[in-house]
Amino acid sequence: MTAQYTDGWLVAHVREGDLEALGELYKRYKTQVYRTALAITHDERAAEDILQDAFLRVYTYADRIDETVPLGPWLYRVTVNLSYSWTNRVKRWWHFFQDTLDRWALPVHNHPEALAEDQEWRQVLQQAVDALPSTHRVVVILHYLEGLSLKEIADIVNAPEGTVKSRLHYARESLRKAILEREHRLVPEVAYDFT
Amino acid sequence: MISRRGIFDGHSTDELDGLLRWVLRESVAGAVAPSHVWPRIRGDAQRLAALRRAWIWRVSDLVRQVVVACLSRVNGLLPMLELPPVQGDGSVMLGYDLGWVRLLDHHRLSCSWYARLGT
Repeated sequence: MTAQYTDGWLVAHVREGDLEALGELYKRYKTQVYRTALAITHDERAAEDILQDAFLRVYTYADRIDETVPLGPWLYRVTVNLSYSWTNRVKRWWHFFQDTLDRWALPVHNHPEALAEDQEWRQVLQQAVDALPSTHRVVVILHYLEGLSLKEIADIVNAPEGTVKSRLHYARESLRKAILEREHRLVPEVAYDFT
Repeated sequence: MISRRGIFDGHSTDELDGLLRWVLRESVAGAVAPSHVWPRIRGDAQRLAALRRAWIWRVSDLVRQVVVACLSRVNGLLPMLELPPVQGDGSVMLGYDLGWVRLLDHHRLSCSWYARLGT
């Protein structure tokens, strides 16, 4: 089966139980689904399960999918909902516990300076993103990671475009705040370096 | 790579956009859907299809039994019916369809025969 077939054509075949058509859709969308799930959950096993579940839903609910439009937005919606469910179910304390363990196991000072600084920055920024409410985080991930437009995101999360825009604004402000806090902590060290 | 200087100066929206993009891409850098997921999906889909066929078979079997019971009470057609073999997979559906055609044909014939008797 080649890439010349439209999503709609493939969905119509999936309805008839064609697993090759499902396989072609899987090839097309697996990376986006997996990456989005991973970005939301930060858990590879969960992302795998979500990927599997999302495509089983394509198979199960193929008769409810609009075959006149690309499958992408429908799949993103399913992925986001499954990721929400996972995040709510698999308690946040577990991530906190794991992060703490990671920090103990790999002290930043053992790395070369530049790498350590880079990792520290990433951690600060990642924490700022993770601290966002899940509805905001999903919007940020779909926009900055998947490159979707505000309108596309509004369709996926079933919210007005204005709401999506304000969530992005809120995310930027949170990040700005995290950077300022980090700068505050960094200033004495920088001053010490130059004396 | 985003420089520290760029981060410290100004914090314009473009810089923040760039930072968000960088952080998110780094968080999933090199992430590829594992190859063992597709066989799992395929296996589950096949199991789902088998369950669906079994369910359709059970429902149609139940309906057939109800209809046969009703007809046998009305005009004693039951001995005339050739019952299809009892199997659990979807392949017997065609057999059932033929059974249904025979059942309805018998019923129609007997009705028209009774109608002729009445005239």
